[in-house]
Amino acid sequence: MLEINNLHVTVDGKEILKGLDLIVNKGEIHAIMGPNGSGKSTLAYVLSGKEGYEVTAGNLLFEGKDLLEFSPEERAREGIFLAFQYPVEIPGVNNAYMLKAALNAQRKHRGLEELDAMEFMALVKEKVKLVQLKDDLLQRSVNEGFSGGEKKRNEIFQMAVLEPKLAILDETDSGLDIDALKIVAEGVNALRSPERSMIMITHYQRLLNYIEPDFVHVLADGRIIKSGGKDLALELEKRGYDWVREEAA
Amino acid sequence: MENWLQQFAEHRERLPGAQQPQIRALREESIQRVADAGLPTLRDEDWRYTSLQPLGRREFKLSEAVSPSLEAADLEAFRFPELDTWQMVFVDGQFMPGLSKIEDLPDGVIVHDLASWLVDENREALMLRNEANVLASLNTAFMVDGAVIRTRENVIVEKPLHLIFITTAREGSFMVVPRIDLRTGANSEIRVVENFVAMGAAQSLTNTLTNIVAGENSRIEYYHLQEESKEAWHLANIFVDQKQDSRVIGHSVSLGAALARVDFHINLDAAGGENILNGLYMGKDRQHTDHHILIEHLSPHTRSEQRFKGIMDGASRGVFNGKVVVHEGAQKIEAVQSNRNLLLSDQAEVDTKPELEIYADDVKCAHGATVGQLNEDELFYLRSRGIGEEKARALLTWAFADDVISRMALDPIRQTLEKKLAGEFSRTEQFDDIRDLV
Ligand SMILES: Nc1ncnc2c1ncn2[C@@H]1O[C@H](COP(=O)(O)OP(=O)(O)OP(=O)(O)O)[C@@H](O)[C@H]1O
Ligand SMILES: [Mg+2]
Repeated sequence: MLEINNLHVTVDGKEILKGLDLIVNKGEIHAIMGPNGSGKSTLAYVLSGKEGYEVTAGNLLFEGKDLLEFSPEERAREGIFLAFQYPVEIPGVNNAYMLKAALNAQRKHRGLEELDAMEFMALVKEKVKLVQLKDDLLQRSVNEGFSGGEKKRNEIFQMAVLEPKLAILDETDSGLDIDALKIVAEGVNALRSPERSMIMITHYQRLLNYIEPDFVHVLADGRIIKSGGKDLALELEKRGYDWVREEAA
Repeated sequence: MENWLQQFAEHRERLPGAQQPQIRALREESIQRVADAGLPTLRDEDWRYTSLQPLGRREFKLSEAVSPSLEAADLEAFRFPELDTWQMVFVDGQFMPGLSKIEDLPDGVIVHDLASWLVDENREALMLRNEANVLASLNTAFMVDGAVIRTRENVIVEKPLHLIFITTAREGSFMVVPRIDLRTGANSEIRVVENFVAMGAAQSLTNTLTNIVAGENSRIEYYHLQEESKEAWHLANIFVDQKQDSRVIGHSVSLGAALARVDFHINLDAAGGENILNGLYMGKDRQHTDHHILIEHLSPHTRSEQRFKGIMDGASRGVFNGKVVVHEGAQKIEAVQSNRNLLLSDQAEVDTKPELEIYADDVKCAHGATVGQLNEDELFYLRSRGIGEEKARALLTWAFADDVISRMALDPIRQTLEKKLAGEFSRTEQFDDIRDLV
């Protein structure tokens, strides 16, 4: 589904990703761990097409198509979803309105009938239960005045409505207390499917107790320097990253 | 200038009230003041960014009492759906009784056309002041028609009064000079909507003046909605005097005209007075819009709030100047002012200047101004959900503007403007009804 070869990315003249390789097949869940500033969010942004991230070498293939040819909205319509590490507040833009516009843009792209307000609200009612998001948050401005946990849940709620093929969850677990983490994890697990792949960026092994990954990768110094199964996460939590770095060097 | 003096000479005998020595003298004095002072120039601090020189070079004829064949159906475009109002219609400056609806007003409310008011010597005088302002003097010299509005004490006027000033596309440039005079009795309440609209590419110069005296503990909601033709000039002066415990809420929306200049002069004369002004101005192509606001806190325990937003596209230019003066002894006042501007193109320009002059020490004042572009992170967030770039931009621009519009108490006006703005911002992609989920 996703194939990243020798990816080099420069931000503001500084090379952040330095030859990253990753293959994600249909239905797989990949966890990416790594020290602060190692380039995890950079990878997430490059995949979703944010401006200012210059790919200087390598390629990104999604279902065989060259992602670099696509704008952010086209990537979303092709089925890529990013749950932001820091979801943006957008004053004055209604949460439900935004999501309806997004869903219909995606449906249109896929040749599906657009949903009217009634159909959309019915869908929302069903999905909102998944992450136990309060109804009134839907009628507020996007993320405005949401607590940290509500913002993260709102990201997963959007993912539930948009049903992407590839979801990138950038530290969706950070800052959540254990109850909120369980809710988010249950939401994510409910969305697991043989058709849907996920990349979960996290600092904490704790998340992986609730969402079991197929692979765990260590991203450091702009590259994946070690890959393994979920046991790797336990080891990282115990021993930190230095030993992996030394091993790789 | 020559043109105006000549116009005055030509019309002085026909202007309403010409038979009345008092009115006549007033007009003569005013035109003299205009002749002496001349039009403001860029050297004048209040006119640094807005030049009226092209005005002096054009020949605007005072609009005569022609009555174009306008029918009630033509007005539908200018009315707000599902808003029941009293209504006065003016076409090219002239009151049209046949198109208006001011009969059967409730007791204690007077709504009268200005022209016949000026003719009747038994009427109380209009409020006339601030003649240091040349455009106001010009208005007094030429005032052709308009509205005189009075509410008696304790009267609550349920239906808003909608004043529709229509200019039409005619041969040559012409001038319309409306005057609105509103005085509220103690504890009364009224909503007045001034709406300047055009049929076709009218080459008009509107020089309008509104005088408001808000009586003790009265409530006024006032709308100044400017949607003149893109060929037009719109010059407006709004004077507000507020008595004790009065509350005046104003909404100013400026969308049309090649050049628009709107001046608010607010006097908070007595304790408990509160004035709130919300404003939205938009420009594209080569439009120029200038808002000047002067708030005078003359008494302790008064409050003022101005929130203006500007959206400039194309090669348009916006000017904002908000000056709050807290006079000596005016303690315990609160004054809040903000002006935020959004530039949608590289050639658009904004000059903003909030000013505070404080001569009292126990006051709470805050002001700020910003000029910026759409937020890139917000744009990316929307696009990352699948919303196209153009629609994402339109949505964010709309949200920026709606913050002002949403403060309007009259829902049908708010909705009409919201729809209009959605249409403005979204060039190719259709907005669905932006509020249908809200
Ligand atoms: N706009 C930018 N301009 C310059 N440097 C940037 C920019 N954005 C990110 N960086 C740098 O790129 C590096 C990688 O940042 P990134 O956000 O991808 O790290 P991360 O692995 O997600 O870190 P964290 O775990 O703290 O979220 C950091 O050194 C960061 O300072
Ligand atoms: Mg990060």
